[in-house]
Amino acid sequence: MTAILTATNLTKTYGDVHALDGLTLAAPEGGVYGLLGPNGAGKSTLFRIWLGLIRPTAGQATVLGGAPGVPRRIGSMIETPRFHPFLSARDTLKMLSIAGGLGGDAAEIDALLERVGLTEAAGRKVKGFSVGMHQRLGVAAALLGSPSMVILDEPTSGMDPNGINEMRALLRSLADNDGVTVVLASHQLAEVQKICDRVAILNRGKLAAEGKVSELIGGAGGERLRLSVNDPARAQALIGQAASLDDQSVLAAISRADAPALIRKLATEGVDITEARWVGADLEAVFMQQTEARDAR
Amino acid sequence: MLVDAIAAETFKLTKNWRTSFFAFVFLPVVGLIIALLSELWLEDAFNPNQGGPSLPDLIPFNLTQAVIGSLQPPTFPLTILFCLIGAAVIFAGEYRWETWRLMAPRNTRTNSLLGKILVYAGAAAASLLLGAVLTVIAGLIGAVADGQRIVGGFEGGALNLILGAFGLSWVHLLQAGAVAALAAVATRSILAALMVPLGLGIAQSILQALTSNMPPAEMEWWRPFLMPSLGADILKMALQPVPLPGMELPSALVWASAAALAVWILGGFGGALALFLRQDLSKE
Repeated sequence: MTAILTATNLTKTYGDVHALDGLTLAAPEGGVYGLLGPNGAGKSTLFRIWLGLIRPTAGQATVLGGAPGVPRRIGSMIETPRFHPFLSARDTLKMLSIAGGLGGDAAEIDALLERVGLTEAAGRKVKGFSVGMHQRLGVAAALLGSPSMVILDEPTSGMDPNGINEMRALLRSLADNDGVTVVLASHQLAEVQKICDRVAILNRGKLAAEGKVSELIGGAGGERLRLSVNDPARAQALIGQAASLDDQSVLAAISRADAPALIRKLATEGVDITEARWVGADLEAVFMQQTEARDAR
Repeated sequence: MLVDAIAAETFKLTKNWRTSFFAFVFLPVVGLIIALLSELWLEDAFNPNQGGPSLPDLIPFNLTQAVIGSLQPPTFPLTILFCLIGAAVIFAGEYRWETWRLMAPRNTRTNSLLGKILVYAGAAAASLLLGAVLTVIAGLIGAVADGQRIVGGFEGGALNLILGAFGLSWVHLLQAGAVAALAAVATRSILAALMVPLGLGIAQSILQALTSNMPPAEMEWWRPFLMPSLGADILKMALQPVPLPGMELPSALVWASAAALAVWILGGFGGALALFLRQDLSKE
């Protein structure tokens, strides 16, 4: 596995706040790689360091094997993208293409605008664009010059459901058909589960988990029995290590064969069960487990 | 590459036509209109010798002096002010629009800022030339309309004087731009990029006015470093083929003036670049 983005003992502090706290991570070449984490987990800080916008307090980061901050054929979009208000969408891409030494090729610009669904708005000034249109233009800007890798921070933020579907298809197509490595950060776990091959879960500036999406979900225990009970803590104690609390429910990582016996046991011990149903593990479950486990330490 | 940064910055400036117009074109055009009104109407309206030639009409129109005068007009502080509007937008615009994070990954920081500096330098020179050309055209139109004799040309020493006048005015605009660049990077604010060099310029002008009666021979070498506009004025005097009586310039003062302007320009732009290379660009 060739790593195209790495972080080694990476630390970034703002006063007393540790945005990144000795993070070590390697994003592989190819596919779609997702960075997950709650607000303040350090995702955007990591992206900014990789793009050379800020310097780490300690540790090392590499991009395509070299130091960050050196312009390469990497596309990027950090947070909600901002543009020059007096430029149209087409002129924005032309200016960025020129700035990056790509010459402002009109055919490429028109093709990109079509790819992100902005053909009709190509001549309009960006200052009148919605958040979703800004996102689309940001992604188009990231794709200028056919980069080998794009780094996208919340690429579907502010988009309507159709836009999210289109963006998902576009990002998957970039990885599958164009061979572009897509590295994205997102809060939308269902979204990430659908399009990412691997994910890294960050929490409080540290790596909480990393791996293939399927492996992480499998490692979370697969199918679990959710029991809505009158006394979740007592139920958890009775079930033992296979149980975890989830709001007013208990999640029991047991097989279907063991379920009747468990329900009888809880009833015998005086725990009232109002609902019992099987739930599949998903990235959200992994995310909750990992972030809660680290918070508890 | 630097050439890409220059091309992108030029593209932005041409598309931001309001800023481009008011910063670099408005004043020369207004100057032309005022000059034409003055030449073709006001001069006649206030001519005490109604019907006959006015006093200026009796003096030949000196093309060389007209060009030099247009490059160093009495309204030059206004030229600086309008160019500073352009400088503030060029140097602080990316902070204002939060676009550094869009621009920075596409070229090196050094190229990006040098591109801005060179585009400002070019726009300031173009504005200066446009003002000069339009003023001279207005003067020529007035001279022809009034039947004035046209004398002077661009050969020999005259050309040196013209180039010197242009160079000094341009350097003065660069010095103001350098302060604007440093203020823009340090404060990330368009308003500060405009107000800091403006305030500094006003304070220096007041200081210079307080010492205006001092003969150059008695002037200390450090004064041009404190007041770069004084340095520019001393260099203008040094360009004159024959010094005015009592205004002979010590060569040390001339060199100090040249050094002072260089220090202000390199210090401003260099300081801006040094600061920019270390700057956190995640939040504008």
